[in-house]
Amino acid sequence: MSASDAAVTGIGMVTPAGLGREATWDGLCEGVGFGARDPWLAGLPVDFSCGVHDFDGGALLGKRITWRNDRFIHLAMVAAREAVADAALDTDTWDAPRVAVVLGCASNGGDRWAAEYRNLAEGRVESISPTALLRSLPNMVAGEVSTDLQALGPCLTTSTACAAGTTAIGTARDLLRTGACDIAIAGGTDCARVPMGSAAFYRMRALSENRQDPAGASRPFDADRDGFVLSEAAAVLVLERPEYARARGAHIRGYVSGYGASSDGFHPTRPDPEGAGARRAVLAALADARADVSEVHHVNAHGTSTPLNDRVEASMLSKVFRTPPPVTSVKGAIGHSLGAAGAIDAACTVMSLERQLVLPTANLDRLDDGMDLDVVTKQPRRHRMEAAISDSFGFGGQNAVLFFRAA
Amino acid sequence: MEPAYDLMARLLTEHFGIPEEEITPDATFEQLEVDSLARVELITMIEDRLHVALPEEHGDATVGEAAAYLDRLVADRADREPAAPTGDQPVAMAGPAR
Repeated sequence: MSASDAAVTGIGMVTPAGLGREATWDGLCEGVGFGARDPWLAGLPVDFSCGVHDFDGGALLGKRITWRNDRFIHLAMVAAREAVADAALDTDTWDAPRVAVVLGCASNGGDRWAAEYRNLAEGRVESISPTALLRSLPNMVAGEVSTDLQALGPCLTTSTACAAGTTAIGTARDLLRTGACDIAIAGGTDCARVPMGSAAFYRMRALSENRQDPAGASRPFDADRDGFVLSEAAAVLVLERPEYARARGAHIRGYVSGYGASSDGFHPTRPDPEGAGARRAVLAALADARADVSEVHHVNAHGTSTPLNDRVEASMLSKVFRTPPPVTSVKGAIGHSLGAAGAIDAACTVMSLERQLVLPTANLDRLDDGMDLDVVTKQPRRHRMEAAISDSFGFGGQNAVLFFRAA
Repeated sequence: MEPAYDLMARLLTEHFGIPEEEITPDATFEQLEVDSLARVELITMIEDRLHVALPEEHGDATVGEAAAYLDRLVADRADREPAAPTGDQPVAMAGPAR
């Protein structure tokens, strides 16, 4: 641990594997997929997803707050409250202007757009809700969480597609380093299981079309993978400078010790076939942490279950590490939650280091030909780890990697 | 048709999460912490349900006053056009789509 590290003192998660941090961890340890037929997507070519089906934002947060915002904000608020409680921070007495909020979001809310566009098209402008914009804009998730927690420092949303959650945590770490804040609430959220999300990603041929087996459709690194599965989730970490956390007697779960970002400059959706951008981000994160590749004892992979991403990622990891350490992708269990994904991976990586357990990759039955990876499957694997990385790659060629050390 | 007061009280509770016991005819929107954004949303929902056009309520209006005004509007319209449209539920009224 060094003074430039950020201590992780709180974690909150809401995912298809469970409502809450421990419920999510336990669900992921089962090593099974949570995909299922989705009534919201009925009638579409891809009518299944991974959802947090027992999540009711109004019941958990109160309709006084939730009436005006979309589900992706509700998910983030619940995860943020859990993270702050886990960090044993008192929002009534903390130095509010010194608390930052940085949340990643790949898309925006979509709960009401279909209805509001119908109102617009049919000339009913007066029927459009005054909340149409504010309930759905990406920046509003950071704004609403800041208001809810009374975290009054720098407040922003990062938009780097499927890397947004990772970018948010890296950016928050940087805010701590520059002294712009003492505490950062950082993570990501998205509710991607909306009809237009399914239709648009289907049109890009990005989704699994395995309607016969929704629970087995997301299968990272498997020979039979055919695309990703839409999901919804939020994960939030509380970050503090180590001396600040220690001074208040906080329990430190782990450290963000390195952050690297890069861009492919290659294609809107396809990764650089050599994985050059991804590789540069991994090496940048290691350099930032002043760590050698041999110090990486586990990789929490992006592993989306799309044919191309997983192939390029596997090959990149083999090149960087020669013999890569144990790898996992939690997307086999909970699908791809876009802007939340990197934050979930970060939270899981910290918990893996804490518990010395690598989570299993659900649905991986037969590793694809040409992949020389040790991917953990079926059940959690006990493994000695001092440090690990979590990598995320977004459309637009936007890459972000975090390096974590055990506490 | 549901009396305007009952409709308003129901929306304030079901959609805006205001506890039922706080809603009385004498309570002002300000007292209920129904801010201007929420008032516009409420008006939008009522207009779509009752098929009337409303001015924006002031925060110091009471729920009872607003309901009485609404009942008058609906009654006036019924006098003028006996076959007022019913049942035609506009989309935005359905509340959150999911």
